[in-house]
Amino acid sequence: MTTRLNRLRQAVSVLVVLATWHLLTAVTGVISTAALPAPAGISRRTVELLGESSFRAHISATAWRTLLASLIAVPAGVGVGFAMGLNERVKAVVAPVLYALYPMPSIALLPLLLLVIDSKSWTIIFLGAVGGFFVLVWNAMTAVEEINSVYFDVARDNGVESRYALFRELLLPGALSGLFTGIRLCLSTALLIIISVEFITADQGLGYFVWRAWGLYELSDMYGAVIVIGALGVVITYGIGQLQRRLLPWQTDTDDREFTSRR
Amino acid sequence: MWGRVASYRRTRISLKPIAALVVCWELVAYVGLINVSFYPPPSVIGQTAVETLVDGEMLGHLRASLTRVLVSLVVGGGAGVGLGLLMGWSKRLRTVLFPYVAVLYPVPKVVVLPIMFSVFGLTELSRILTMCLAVFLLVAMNTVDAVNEIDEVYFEVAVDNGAGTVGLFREVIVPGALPQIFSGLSLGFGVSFILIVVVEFIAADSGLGYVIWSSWRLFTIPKMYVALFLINLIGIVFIYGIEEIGNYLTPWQQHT
Repeated sequence: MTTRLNRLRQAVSVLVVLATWHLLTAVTGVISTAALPAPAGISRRTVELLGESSFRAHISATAWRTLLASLIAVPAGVGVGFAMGLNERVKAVVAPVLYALYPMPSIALLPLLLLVIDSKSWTIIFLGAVGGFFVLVWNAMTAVEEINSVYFDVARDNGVESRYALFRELLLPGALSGLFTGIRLCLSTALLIIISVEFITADQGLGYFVWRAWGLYELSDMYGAVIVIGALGVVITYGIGQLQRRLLPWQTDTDDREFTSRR
Repeated sequence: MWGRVASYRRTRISLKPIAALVVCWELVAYVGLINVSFYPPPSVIGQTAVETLVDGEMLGHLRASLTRVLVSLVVGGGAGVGLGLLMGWSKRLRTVLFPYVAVLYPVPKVVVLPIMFSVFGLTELSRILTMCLAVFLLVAMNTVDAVNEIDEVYFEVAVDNGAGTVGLFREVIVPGALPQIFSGLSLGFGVSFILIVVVEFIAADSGLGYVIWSSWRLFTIPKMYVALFLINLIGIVFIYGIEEIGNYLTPWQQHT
């Protein structure tokens, strides 16, 4: 009951803003549609764009880059993070290097990378992967460190011998919740960096498309592509949230808890 | 909503490997194993650093970048903490604002830059607002989470002991949320640190990012390294600064 009322409140809150926007631009013209397109115009243009194969090529370029960057960053981040969390000696060697590199925004190294890597696309992927790796690695390390040490004793006493069994029975389930937070941040950072580098130097991809549309002052195109980029971000963030709920059914349903309980 | 966010942990940065790297670099450049026009030896970079810092050119760019980062953290972060606390406290506010935060939060914030430009023109306001918005959303979301994760019992105890709204904020909500607020702030800094480089690369005529990109194009490579070094310095100061302030304000947290 209250959830339905809340849904209603939320719908009203969104509709009021959209209606005001529509009134100011398309109906009264207080804000010229040349400076800020009306919501209807933007959604129409977005649908048109999605029908064009050249635009879909931009989407797939960005999506592929994000996917490849994640395929590099996630195993590397989880692997290094786990190793640091499990083994003090590994941590003593690796952590200072990472701490020293961490305060350098990877994207600032773009000119140097363009020099070293021939392919622009791989430069973009590499930067996205590096940014994602650094966010993930601390989360993976902390996730392992925070597993109660009693579990390790219990596992050993009950005959868990091999490293693989330890990993499967204890490390993975124990760290999974923290890992999901890390992976979500990793992918959204990778996407942010990939779009950013596409702004700066690319001849394909959604970032390139947005920046070019802004340069040509084709605002409807720009907003259309921004919506698609936003959708990519939403898919990543909430997709991983859904996955987490599927894989970790023993966790409380955080969504419901956070936004409907208390007061 | 997202679970606790972990970030880097404190350790002492050792200067030894860095010193070793500098010596190796110098030697390799001296012997001629690397192309000095792309990888100038540290002595040349140091000389350029002194020159550009003395004549004030680099100092001006450093100040420009520093101002942008600082304003985005103070304004965006401050607003994020404020609204986050209010949203964590009032269910109605949370309900009404949730759709916006939920939709805007996952958007890669760099796309806000051209939108700001189209609304406010090619101005400093547009650049700073873009960075503020990014910090704001991350901090707000983390703060709401932080308040929601405070155990219900604390609220009940406080109310039973006569805490009013102000008391509730001062005694329960703010101290309870503080550790995670600082995780949010350091995440926010991470994003604003990416954004400042992008913004200054493509759409500014001041700042360290601008120096990096323009030196690259004008092939004044030593200057590029000076700017890289300074931006690294900003990163170190802010990352460890935020952490130190967080530790200072939450002495009850255990730090390993």
